[in-house]
Amino acid sequence: MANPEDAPRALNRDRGLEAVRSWTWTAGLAGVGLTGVLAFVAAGSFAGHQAAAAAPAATDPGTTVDNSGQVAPQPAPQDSLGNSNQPPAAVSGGS
Amino acid sequence: MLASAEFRSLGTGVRVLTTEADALQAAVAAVQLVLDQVDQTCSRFRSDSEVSQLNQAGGHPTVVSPFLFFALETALGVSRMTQGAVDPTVGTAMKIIGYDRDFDDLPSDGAFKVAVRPVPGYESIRLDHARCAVTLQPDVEIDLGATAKALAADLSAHAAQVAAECGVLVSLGGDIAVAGAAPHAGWPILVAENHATPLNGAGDVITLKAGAIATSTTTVRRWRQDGVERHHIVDPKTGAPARIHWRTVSVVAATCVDANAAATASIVWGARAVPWLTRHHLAARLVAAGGEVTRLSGWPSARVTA
Repeated sequence: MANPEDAPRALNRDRGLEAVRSWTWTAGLAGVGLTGVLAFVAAGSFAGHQAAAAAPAATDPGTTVDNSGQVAPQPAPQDSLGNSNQPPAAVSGGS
Repeated sequence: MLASAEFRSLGTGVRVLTTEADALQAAVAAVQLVLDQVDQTCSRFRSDSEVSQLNQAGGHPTVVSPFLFFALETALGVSRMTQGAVDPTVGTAMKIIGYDRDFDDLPSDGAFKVAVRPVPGYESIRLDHARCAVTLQPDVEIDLGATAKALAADLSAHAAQVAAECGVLVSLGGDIAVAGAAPHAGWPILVAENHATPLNGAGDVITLKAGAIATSTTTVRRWRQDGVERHHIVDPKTGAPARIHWRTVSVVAATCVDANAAATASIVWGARAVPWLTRHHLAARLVAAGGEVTRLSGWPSARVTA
């Protein structure tokens, strides 16, 4: 015969199991979501690299890294005294 | 209005900026997700990381996660691009010269003699695209340090831009990628030898509206081994730290992976880097061993702060 004092314990156990189940689902979904996000970001960021893997010639020097007309640094805007109009937002340096 | 946050990850300082203040939290969360994934996958200093387990596979084909496979593909692409000057098979060489743990934990002077040798070479890595599997030769250890941080900067900048829906800048220890709509005048960036230089410190100030900038240097991660000064940029041809012709090189490119590859290869190549950078139209700032500065391919003329 069941001990009436066990009822709250069983209830707590059930709630605990439910919480674990819920956390497992949440963690699983988060993991899948992160993998998906990274795959999406990677595909968007490096669309050319997948094709390059299939065709090694595309990664030869002078092909992928060539920067003509793509990205160029500009001098920082300055006032009439030659001082920068805005402070740097970040530092590029060795680490 | 720009907003910024700073924290540490991957053993270095991280700085995230957004063009919209109320989007900062979303951007930071996205960056942290990516960096956690990179750390768990690519860190040579974590015994439980995927690359550490791959290094212990003893020459057997190993099925790896799509993310590690992608990181390896990126590293091999960089090796081909730099004709082997940047090579992920430097893992054993790094251990031999004493860089075998997080830099903060290195002894000030490891007192033992070493015998360096050329690294096995990136051509020895076999990738099986169909099975997402990797085979290393038994004596090969991978070190993704030369590319993983830059890859993390590119990925996290794009992830942050997607999450924040505004312009973002992500700096991982001085490797910087931007994404989305930049501020009107561009992102102002101080270019110095050490990423820990204060924002009002000495160096060139440039602006970027797109792409990335990376700086490689022999001046920051230095240690002594048996009385010999070491730095962390290994010349794969010798297995020893590269001879210093340029002590610091900064490069602007479309991606941080490309910028970092060009900067690191330039340290390894020395004087030969100039025609290569010029031929590929890569804006670069090179600091010679004695401190003289050379600016190439449209790098703005000196605008030195402080």
